[in-house]
Amino acid sequence: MATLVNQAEQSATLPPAQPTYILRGHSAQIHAVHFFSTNRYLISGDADGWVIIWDMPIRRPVGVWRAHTGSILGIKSWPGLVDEEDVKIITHGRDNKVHVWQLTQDDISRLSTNFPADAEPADSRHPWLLHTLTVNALNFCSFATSPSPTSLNAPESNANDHPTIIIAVPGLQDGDINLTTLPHETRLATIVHPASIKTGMVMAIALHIDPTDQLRVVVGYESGYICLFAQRTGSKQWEAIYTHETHTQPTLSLDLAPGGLGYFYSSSADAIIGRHALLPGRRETKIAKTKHAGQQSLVVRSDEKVFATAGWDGRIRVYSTQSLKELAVLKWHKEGCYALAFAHVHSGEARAGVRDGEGPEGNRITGRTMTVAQQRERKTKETHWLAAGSKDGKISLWELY
Amino acid sequence: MENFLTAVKTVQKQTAEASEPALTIRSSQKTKESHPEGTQPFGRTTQDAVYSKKAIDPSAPPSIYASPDGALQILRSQPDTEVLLATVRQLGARDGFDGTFDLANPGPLQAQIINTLITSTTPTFWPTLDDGDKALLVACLSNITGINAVVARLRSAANEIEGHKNGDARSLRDMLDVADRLFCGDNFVLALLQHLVPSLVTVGVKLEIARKELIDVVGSGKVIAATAQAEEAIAGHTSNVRKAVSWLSKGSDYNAWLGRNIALLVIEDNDLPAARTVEASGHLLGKALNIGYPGSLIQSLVKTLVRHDVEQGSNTSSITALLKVLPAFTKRRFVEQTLRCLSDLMASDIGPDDRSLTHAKEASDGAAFVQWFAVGDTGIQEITCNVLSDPALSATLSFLARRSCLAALSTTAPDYLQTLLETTMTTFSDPLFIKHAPILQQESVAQTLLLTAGYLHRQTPMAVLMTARSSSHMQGTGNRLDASGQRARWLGMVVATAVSSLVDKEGSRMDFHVDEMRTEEARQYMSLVKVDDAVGTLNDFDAMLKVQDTSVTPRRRPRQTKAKPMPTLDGKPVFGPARPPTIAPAQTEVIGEKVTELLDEVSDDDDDDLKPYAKPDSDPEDSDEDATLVNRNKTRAPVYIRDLMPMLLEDKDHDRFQLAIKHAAGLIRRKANFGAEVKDHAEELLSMLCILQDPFDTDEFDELRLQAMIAVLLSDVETLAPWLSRQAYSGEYSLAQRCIMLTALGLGGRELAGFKNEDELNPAITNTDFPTKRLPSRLHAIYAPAASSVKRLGSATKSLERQLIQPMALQAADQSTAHLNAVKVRTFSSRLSTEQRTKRKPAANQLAKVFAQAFFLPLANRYQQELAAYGSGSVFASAPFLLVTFLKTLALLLHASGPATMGLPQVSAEFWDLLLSLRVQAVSDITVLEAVLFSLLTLLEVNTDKRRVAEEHAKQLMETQQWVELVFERAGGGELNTGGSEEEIKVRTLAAGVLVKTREVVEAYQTQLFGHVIE
Repeated sequence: MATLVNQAEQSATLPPAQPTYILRGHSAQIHAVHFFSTNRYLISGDADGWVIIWDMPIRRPVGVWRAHTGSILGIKSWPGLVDEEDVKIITHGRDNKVHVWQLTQDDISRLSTNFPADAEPADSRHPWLLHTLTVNALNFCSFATSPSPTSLNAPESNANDHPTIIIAVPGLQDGDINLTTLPHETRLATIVHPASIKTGMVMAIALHIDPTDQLRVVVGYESGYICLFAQRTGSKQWEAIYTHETHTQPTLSLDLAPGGLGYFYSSSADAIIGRHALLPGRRETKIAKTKHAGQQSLVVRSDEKVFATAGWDGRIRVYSTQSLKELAVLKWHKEGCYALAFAHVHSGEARAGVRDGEGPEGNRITGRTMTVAQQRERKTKETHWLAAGSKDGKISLWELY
Repeated sequence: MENFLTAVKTVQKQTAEASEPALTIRSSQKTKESHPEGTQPFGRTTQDAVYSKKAIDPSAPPSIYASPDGALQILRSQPDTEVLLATVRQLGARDGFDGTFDLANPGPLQAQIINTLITSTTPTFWPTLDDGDKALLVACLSNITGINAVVARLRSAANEIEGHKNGDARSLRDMLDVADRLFCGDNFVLALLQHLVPSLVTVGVKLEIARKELIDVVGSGKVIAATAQAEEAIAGHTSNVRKAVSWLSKGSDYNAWLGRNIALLVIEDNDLPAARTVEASGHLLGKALNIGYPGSLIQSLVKTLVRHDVEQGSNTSSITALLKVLPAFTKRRFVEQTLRCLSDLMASDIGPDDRSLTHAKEASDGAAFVQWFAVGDTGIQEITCNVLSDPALSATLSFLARRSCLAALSTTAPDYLQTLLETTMTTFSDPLFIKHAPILQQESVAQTLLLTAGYLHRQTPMAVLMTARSSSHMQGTGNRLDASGQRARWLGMVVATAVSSLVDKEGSRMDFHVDEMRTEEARQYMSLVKVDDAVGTLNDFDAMLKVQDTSVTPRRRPRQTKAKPMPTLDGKPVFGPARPPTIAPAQTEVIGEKVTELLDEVSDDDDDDLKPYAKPDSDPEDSDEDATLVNRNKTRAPVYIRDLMPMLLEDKDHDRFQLAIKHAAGLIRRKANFGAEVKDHAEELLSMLCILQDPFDTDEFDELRLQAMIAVLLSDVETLAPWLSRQAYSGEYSLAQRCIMLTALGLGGRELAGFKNEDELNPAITNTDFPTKRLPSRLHAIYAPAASSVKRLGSATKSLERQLIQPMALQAADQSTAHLNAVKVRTFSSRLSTEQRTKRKPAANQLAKVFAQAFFLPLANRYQQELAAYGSGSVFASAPFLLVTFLKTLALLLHASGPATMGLPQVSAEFWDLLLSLRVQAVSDITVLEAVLFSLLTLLEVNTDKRRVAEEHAKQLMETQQWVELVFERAGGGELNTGGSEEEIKVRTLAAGVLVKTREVVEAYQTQLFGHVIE
C-alpha cells in the first residue's frame, strides 16, 4: 500500500478519480446542489420542483418536499448566527417564486423521507415558509445572494437578528436585474443592461462586496457578454465598469474567487472559460479554450485553489484557479451534468489538523473522546466533497484534493 | 350509341351556325333581367315559371324560361354565371319542366342541351365555378347522354392534342375533372337506371335501348381508355410534373368501383321493380368481366355483397339473384375469378404443408363463402367441380381455397363428389398427363383427389370402394409406378396408399415399404383423406376479409432528397437562415486592454501543490467548435437483433441507420447459431430487409442489404428459402425488390454450397465503368436501382460462364475445328487468381441436400403458378429483366448444387421443361435468350450422367439441339466474325457451348451403346 502511494506521488499524475458515492432518489434531472451546515447536509433540487436534503454522514435523505411546482433554478442557504442551528434555505423555481424556508433540526425531523417517486400525494409536509418573493423566471437564470454591505444594514438592527442579505434576480425586462434585501423585502435597485450592447437575457448573476464595502454585481448575458456593475460614487446610478465579450454562446454560469485571488470565472455553452479580474484594469482577462462545449454550473471552491464545471458531455472538469489548467476529468455519469457544489473547505490550519488527526496518535486521542457516529460526522464534514447532479437524476460524490 | 353520336355530330354543326344569332338573344336577355319578375321571352306563361321555381328551390333565382328549348337557347347565348346556374339547376332537377321532358331520356333535344353544356359551357365556366356549382353542372350530365358525350369529348380532345392540332390541354384537364366528379359514388349505375324508368316506362323499346347503351358505355373499357388517353395527352403536352393519375384511368380501380356498383344494383333490387336492376347487373357483370381486370372487379363485388348479407343477417344470399340471370359462360368466368379471389385471400403454399393443414378455421370460413354463392344453383356447383377437376385451373388455386371448395361441395352438392373423384382419378392416371404435365399440376390433382376421396368416403364408402377397385385406378397406379419422373412416381404411391387406407381393412392395406413414403411430406399427403372441414359462417369470413383489409402493405418511405449544401460559415456548416456578418459591438469602457488566450501548454502562473488526476478512459474532444453542432448522443452499433430492427427502420437519424445497415450482416451471422434470437425474428427481419428503403443515400446500400439478407437466409435455409421464394412472387414488391430477393437466394445458395464469396473479405466493388459512361452516382442510384440489386448475381454468373466455356474452348483449340471457333474465349488471369483457385479447399456441399426442396421447387412451382394465374399480366412475363434474374438464379444454384444434388433427375426435367417453354420469349428478347442458353449450358454441365440424360430426357435433348442450332445459325453461325454487339457474341458463344455439350451427350451415349454391342 505504501509503495502504491509512493508511486502515485512520484508519478506526474494521480490515478483517474472515481466517485465515492452515488445518491439516487430524484426522478427528474437535477438542477441544483448545495452543501450547508458546514457540510453536514447536502440539498438537491430537480426539474419537477422536488427538493431532497441528504444527511452527508449517513448519506440518506432526511427531508423531501416539493418546493416549487416548476423546475428548480437554484438553491442557496442563508446561514444564521449559529451556523448549524438556525439555517434558512432559499429556493428559486420556474414557477416565478423565490421561497425562503426555515430549516432548524426540528424542522428537518418533521419532514417526509420518501423519495419523489414514492411520495404520497396527500403528504404536503414542508418546512416553515418564511418569505416568498414573486420574481420573473421566464429565463433560466438562478438568483444570487450575498451578505449585504454593512452600510446598508438598518441602523436599528441589532446583532441578534438574522443577518441581512441581498438577493439578485433577473428583472421583468430582458437584461434587467432586481436587487432586493431580505428579510426586509425591500427593493434596492434595478440594474439596466448597458444600452450600447445587445445582451439578450440575463443568464447568470454573482454578487460581490469589495473591500471598500461596495456592492458589485457580475452579470453574464445570453449574447456571451460579461459585465461588472458598480455604483458610481456619490450617486445611486449603476454603471458597467467592465464589459467583455468572452463567449460566442450564451453564458451559463459565473462564480467568484473574492478572497486572495480577486478573480471571477465564467463558463458558457461554448468551450470557453473566462477568468476576469474583480478589480478591472489591474489584471488581464484570460480565456481558455477547453474544447469541451457546454460547461455549466461553474463553482469555485472556498479555498480558491480549484474550480469545477459540470459538462453536458457528462464529465465534470476541475481546473486550477491560477492557471486555468485542467486538473481532473471526472467521468461517471452517462448523461449531461447540470449542477455542481463543492463542500466548504476549512482553512489551511484546520486541514493540517485533520492530517495530524489521521496519524496514529491523533486517532487514539480522538477515539477516546468521540463516539463512532461523531467521528464519522466529523470526518464527513472535513472531506473535500464535490457533488455533481446530472440529467439522469443521480448525484455523484467525489473526494478531491 | 351510333345514332346518338350522329345526333351529337349534327348538333355540332348547328352550334356553329347558331353562334351568329346568339348576340341578339343575349341582348334581349339583358333587358329581361332588368325586370325582376320578367315577362317570358319564349312565350311561356308566368304561371309556369312560378311553378318551376317552387319545384326546385325557393332560394334559387327565379327561372326565366320554362321549356327545354328555351333552356337550350339560353345556354347557347353565352349567359352570365347567374343565369347559367339557374338554367343548369332547373335542367338538373328531375321535374324542372312540365313533366314531359327529362334529361335522363335520350332524345335529340337532350342531346343538343348536353352537347352545348360540354362543348361551350364547361370550357368557359368550369374553372370559375365553386364545388357546389360544379355539382349542379355534373348533375345535368349524369345520364346516358351525358356520359357518352363526356367520354367522346375526352377522346376527341385528346386526339386533337396528340395530333398537334391546336388542342387545349387546360380544357381537357377540366373535362377530366368533370369525368372524375361524374363517375362517383357506388350507386352511380343504380341511380341512372332508376332515373330512366319513370320517363320511359311507356316506351318499352326505347327503355331497352337506353339500358343497353348505359351498360355498354359503363361496362366496357371505354371510360378507362378515354381518361387514360386524355391523361397521357396532357402529360405529353405539358412538361410539368405529372398530375396524380385519376382512378378512372386505372383499370383495377375502375373495376373495383364497377364491382361495388353491380353489388348495389343487386342489393337495391326491391326499390323499383320496373328498373329490373338485377337483370342489368347481370349484363353489366358479363361486360365488365371482359375489360381485363376481373380480379379487382370480382373482389369488390363479392366483398360488398358479403358485407351486405352479414349486416342484414339474412339467410338467403343476395348473390343468388345475380347468378340466376347470368349466362352460362359468364357464370363460369365468375366462378373461376371468385375462386381465384378466394385463393388470393387465403394465400398459402401450393402443397399441404403444416401451416395450411392446421388452418382448419380458415378453410371452414372459406367454405362458408363458397357455399354462400354455390348453394341452390346447380350450375354453379357443376362449374366449381369442373374448375377443381381441371388440372390447369386448379393448380392456380391455393391449397386452402381448394380445401374450402370441397368442404362446401360436400355439404351443398354431395352428388358431384362422385363425378369429381372419377374425373380427377382419370386425369391423374392418364399416362400423357403423367409424362407431360408440370409437377405442380400433378400435385394439385393428387391433393384434390385425396380430399374428395375423404369426403366421399364419409358419405358413401361404397362409392370410393368401387372407384378404388375399378380398373382405371389400378391401371393408373401402374402407369404412375412406371413413370420416369421420381415425383410422379411418388405421387402415385402416395395416392394409392391413401386410397387403400380408406377402403381396405387393416392388414391388407397397400404399403410400398420404401423410405420415400416415410417422409414428413408423405405423412401430410396421407392425412388429406382425413381432412373434414365444417362449413363456417359467413360472419367469420367477413371478419377474415376485414383482417385482410387492414393488413399492412409494404411501407413506402419517400426517398429523402439530399438538401442543398448547407451554407457554411468559417468552413463549417450552419443551420437556419444565413447569418448576417457579425459586427463587433462597440465596447463601452475597455478596461482590460490585453486579452491573452491560454493554450493548453501555456501557463503563466505556477500551480501550487495540485497534481492533476489522470484522464478517464475516454474523454473525446468536441468534434466541432460550434457547440450547437456537437452530437452528444453517439449511437452504438447494435448488439441484439431486437436493437437492429428498429434501427433499420430509422428514417430520422442518419447515424443510427448507417450503423444498423453496416453491422446487420455481421451481427446476424454472429447470432445465427447463438440462441433463438435470429430464428425468432427471421421472417420479420427478412421481410423488413426486403422492403427496406434507403432514406439517406447510403453508400453500397444494396450490397449491405443483400449481405444482410443472405445472412438471415443462411440462418435457417430450410424454412426461409421457400419463404423467400414465395415472397418473390407475392405482394406488392417492386422489380428491384423482387430481384434482390432472387439474388439473395442465388448467392445464399452458392455460399451454402461452399462457394464462399471470393470477395467476402473485401466486398468493396469498385465501379469500373469509365466515368463518362456513368450517370452521377446519385442519379445512377435513382435510375438503375434494379440493375444494382443484381450486380453481384451478374458477376457470379459471368465467372461461372467463363468457367463453363473455358475448358470447351481449350478443347476446341486443340482439335482446331473450324465450327467451334466461336467458343474461343480469351481471359487474362493473374497469378493471384490462379493461386486462389488452386488453393481453395472443397467445402462440404450443404446445398445439394436441400436444393430441390428449399430452393428449386418453391421457385419453379411458384413461377408456374404465377404464369398460370396471370399469364402475360404477370410481372415475370412482362419484365424480361426479372425473368432473366430468375433464370440466372436457378442456373447458378443448380451449378452450385452440382451433380450430387438430391433428386437431380426430377429437377433437371422440371427445369428443362421450364426453359423449353421460354423459347418463344427468348427469341424476342436477347437478354432472355442469353439467360436461357446459360441455363441450358449449366443444366447439361451438371448432369454428368450422360447416359441417363440421353435415356430419360431424349425428347428435351433433341428439342434443345434443334432450337439451339437455329439460334446459333441466326446469331452468325460458326464464322469467327467479330461483328455484332457484345450480347450477340455472348449468345453465339453460349449457343455453341450448348451444342457442344449436347453432342457430347449423344456421342457418349452412342459409344456406350456400340460398346455394348461390341461386347
